[in-house]
Amino acid sequence: MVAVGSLLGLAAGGAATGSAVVGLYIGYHAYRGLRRNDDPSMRYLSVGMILLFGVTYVIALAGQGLIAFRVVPISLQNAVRLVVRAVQLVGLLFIAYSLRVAANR
Amino acid sequence: MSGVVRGRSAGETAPGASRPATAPGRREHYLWTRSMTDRSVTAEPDLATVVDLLDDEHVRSILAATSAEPLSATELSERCDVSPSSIYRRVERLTEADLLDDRTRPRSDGHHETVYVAALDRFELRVREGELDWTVERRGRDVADELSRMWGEL
Repeated sequence: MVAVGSLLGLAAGGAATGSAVVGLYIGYHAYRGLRRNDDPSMRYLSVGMILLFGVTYVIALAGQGLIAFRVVPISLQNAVRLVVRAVQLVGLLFIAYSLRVAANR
Repeated sequence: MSGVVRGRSAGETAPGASRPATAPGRREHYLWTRSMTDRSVTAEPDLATVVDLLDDEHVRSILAATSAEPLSATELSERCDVSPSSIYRRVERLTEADLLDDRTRPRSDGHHETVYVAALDRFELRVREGELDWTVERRGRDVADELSRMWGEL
């Protein structure tokens, strides 16, 4: 059971890394769209994607690491979750706003 | 989506003569997109046309500038320090030869303007074993431009 558990953990980590990479790829092209086409909606889209996939990934990873190495007490696990969720929400708000900007062009 | 086309002329044959003569530059324009097969339908410019175009300094600066970002004729005229009419003339020849793509872009005032993007990625001429090979490689549409376009359509 331990093997299955760590395998699942590894798969979850891999999926998280994958979504961070793909999310940042889209964010990068949105940034290029901003530079190439002076499209303001792309600014909010790229910021949103970077928050949603890049920043949350780094925070979750750092939080997990700090908790695993007992730098941060495990009681703060929910605090890390809260920060990740909050950043996700802000990222999504950026993306929603970007849609509005794009629609009003 | 970028296409590679090889032209070949051997010995004294006129450049590009081995390819069938087709009506040049007949293309359909859509508001945003051209169908993916559009390019293969388009008649390839012959070597003389390509070389003649590239012989022009302003054509080269138009291609260089539009390879970095889509630019309107007015912007090109400012960048290259050439009158708008000579920009239009060159841009028309370049789009006919399919070395430049045109598309529309929404402006902040709600109107649309035509912008140009370099389609030419690489032009290669090779002389080897009595034969002259030339290749025009075109780049696909830029992901960033497509993202920007799709996002606006949502």
